[in-house]
Amino acid sequence: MANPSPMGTAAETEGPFAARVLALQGVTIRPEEARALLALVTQLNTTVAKAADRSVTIDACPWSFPTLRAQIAERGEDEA
Amino acid sequence: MSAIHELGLVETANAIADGSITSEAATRTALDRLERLGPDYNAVMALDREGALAAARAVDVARAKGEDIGLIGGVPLAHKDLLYRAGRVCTGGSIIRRDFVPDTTASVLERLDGAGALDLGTLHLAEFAMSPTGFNAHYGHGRSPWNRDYGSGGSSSGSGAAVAARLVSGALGSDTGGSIRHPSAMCGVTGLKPTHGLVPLYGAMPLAPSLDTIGPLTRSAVDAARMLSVIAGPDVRDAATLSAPERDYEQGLTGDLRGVTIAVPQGYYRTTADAEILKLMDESLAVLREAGVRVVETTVPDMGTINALMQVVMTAEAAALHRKWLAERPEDYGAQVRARIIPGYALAATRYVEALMMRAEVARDWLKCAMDGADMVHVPTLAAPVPSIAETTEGSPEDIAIAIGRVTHCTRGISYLGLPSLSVPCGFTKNGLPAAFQLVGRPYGEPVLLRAGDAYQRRTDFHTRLPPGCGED
Repeated sequence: MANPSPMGTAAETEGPFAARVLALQGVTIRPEEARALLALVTQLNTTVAKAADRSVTIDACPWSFPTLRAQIAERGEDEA
Repeated sequence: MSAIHELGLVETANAIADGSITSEAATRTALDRLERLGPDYNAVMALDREGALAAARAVDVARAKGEDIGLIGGVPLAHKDLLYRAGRVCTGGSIIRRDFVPDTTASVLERLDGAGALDLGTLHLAEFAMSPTGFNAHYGHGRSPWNRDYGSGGSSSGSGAAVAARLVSGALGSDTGGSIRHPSAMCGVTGLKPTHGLVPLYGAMPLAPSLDTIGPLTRSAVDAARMLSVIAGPDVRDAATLSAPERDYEQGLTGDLRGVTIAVPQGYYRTTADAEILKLMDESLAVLREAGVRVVETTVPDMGTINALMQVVMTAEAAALHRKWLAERPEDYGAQVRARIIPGYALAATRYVEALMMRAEVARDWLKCAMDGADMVHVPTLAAPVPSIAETTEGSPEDIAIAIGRVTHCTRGISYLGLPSLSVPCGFTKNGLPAAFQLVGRPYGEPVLLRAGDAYQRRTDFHTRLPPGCGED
């Protein structure tokens, strides 16, 4: 059996995509939803990956925004 | 003195405190109006008439004894039906939770209780807080007091309509991608989406916790400041608030904006805006200049990427929260809500984490470009006139998506950035519906936004205009 194409990429077709969502998430994607959904997810995955390639390093952390907010609170309003 | 329903929140609090009116009279007026006019706008979910009147009488007795009745003592309010109060049904605008009775009370409601406010009941919202127009497949569309063929905006649809129609003087809403700002703009009231992490989310039904905020919808900036002073600040039940300042947000509302600089970013927010919206934006800037503001032009980074980052965070978190119900009870979700959630089931987990990792850097970059040293940014809340209900519910799915996308064009990216935004009514478009601008600030920059909003409202009367049929007592 051939390797499945990566989920949420342009290489994936609607049928396998819906089957994979059902297997992973337990949520049924209706046939009439699959095409637009696959296109949207492909676009989102691609856009975020490109942005991350430009700026995310191994030192980045997912709590970056709370950290920024706390730093601003500590410095005070004038420097916010 | 004005009729009771015409009083703003601070005016009502002052009138009760000085004995000009009783809390019972204010509460009866609000209840009568909620019952009589609320159904016209589909603004109300449930009311507790007897409980509210009993609480009002207790405030009046306390005041007569000379006791401190609090910053909002005896003022009748009602809030979006996603804030839990122990023992009271909280539907979240859904069928699934139509009988859900929480055993805890939201921090924001506890804080309002502590300030003496009365809670008359719950207000309409979009299903699971997921529609920018106020559409709800189960409970009907929220309707604008200005014209019932138009939506009241969502997802805090009932909050916007109830304040605009003078049913209550203030209401809490929540905002994940614009859900305070849309109904504020579409109904002609003032709405504050606070900095993410300023107001505790504990006890609020979540949509996407990294983006969710709770804030006031009121007639004026000064009323919003009073409510924010009560609800903001640290809460150990919401770790995101632990660095939040506690302030009196009414301080500094002087009407004087000398020394304040407002940035007007060119590009994204203006190139797609309708001409009549741009004209209203420019007129509002002229008023702010009269108050002493210096206006500078700036730019914005790639908003397409920022909007994608927002959508990834929102859909991934919403998908996780709704997975069990969507798997077991898909028929209990409206089509528009389902469409907003299901992309989250196919996003790569790494994209979600990357979107969170980039958030601070993207926010810094946006502030550097769009604000460029200014105190705040001025952009439209809606870049187009308020759409009719038909425009956002009829036609092809693509047409509906475009119409809805226009509503969120100027709001959703700001939610990803986590920044505070004050929506201020600034006139009317040719269809007779209100328009508004947003003032966007730095994290915890609410004081200067409220100062500017208040200064604008001292020089204009858009926030005092009554929708047709809402003037009678």
